[in-house]
Amino acid sequence: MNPIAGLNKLFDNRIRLGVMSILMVNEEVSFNDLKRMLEVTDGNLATHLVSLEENGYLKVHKGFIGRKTNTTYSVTRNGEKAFTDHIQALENMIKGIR
Amino acid sequence: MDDNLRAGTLQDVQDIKRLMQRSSRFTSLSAWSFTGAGVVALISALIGRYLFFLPYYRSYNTRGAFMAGDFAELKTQLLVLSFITLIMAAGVAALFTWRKARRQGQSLWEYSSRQAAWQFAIPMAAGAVFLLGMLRYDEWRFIAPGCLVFYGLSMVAASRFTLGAVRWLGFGMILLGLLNMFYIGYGLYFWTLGFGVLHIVFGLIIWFRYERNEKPVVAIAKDPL
Repeated sequence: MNPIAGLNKLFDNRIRLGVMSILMVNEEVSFNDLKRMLEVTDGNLATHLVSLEENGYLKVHKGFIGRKTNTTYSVTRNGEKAFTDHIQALENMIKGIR
Repeated sequence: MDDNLRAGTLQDVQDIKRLMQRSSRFTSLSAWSFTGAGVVALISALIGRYLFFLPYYRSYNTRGAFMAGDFAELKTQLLVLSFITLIMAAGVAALFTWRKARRQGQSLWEYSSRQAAWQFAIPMAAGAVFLLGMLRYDEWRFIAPGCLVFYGLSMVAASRFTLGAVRWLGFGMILLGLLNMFYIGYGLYFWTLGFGVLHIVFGLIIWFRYERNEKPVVAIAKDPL
């Protein structure tokens, strides 16, 4: 069996993988919190968020706190499934090693 | 299998684990915050006993009769002492946790700590209003056990967003508070045990278990590109 079968191409990238990891255990996380937790720049994070959103893995909620925009993200059903499949594939790989 | 692939997989799994942990729990809570708060409480208990309680009982005994004025003064002294203790203990706790967070590069005000603070604040605020309401009707006997119970509930609620073991400290406080309900008038002893001894013991335990051999936290999820 192909050892990397089932691995999701989209999660090759550390930031995208990181975003998904955080959103799996938190209902809703704001852009700024994601940025702080992943220690990345605005632009960098934004590009990766867009690609996750375009693939239907993320839901974006645009809100306001006072006058400032407050964009929060949460994971979709699809995203959840894609992430668990990816973890399963990682697990299979590790098991295959032993 | 390809060694690079294996290393990458392990790295991925470790990153995922760390991010899930760190994003959902505030892990910079310092063991010394508990110990420090406990020491403050012990000192304050000694002050309460030797500066306020003993003189009150001494004058009670020499006079041989209860005096409402003396008792009111004692209550005020204890109330003020409690507030000062609360502020000092919270300050000491915040200081140690702030230092640890800075060392670990974690902000004091991030998602997980906000969640923890919020969960902690709900039972605390409810308890504060409840007990102040009791005081308004001069019902002071249940203040001591009440504080322990509500504080314990706050810890149990907040433990979900920080060190999970905090739950056990919360259970301990609740238990002491409930016991105190059946030994009204011994509040100072229960407070000393709960806010003093329990905090110190808990702080030492988590220091031994988690912090003694702590490794510096490395920066996570660096972009490989």
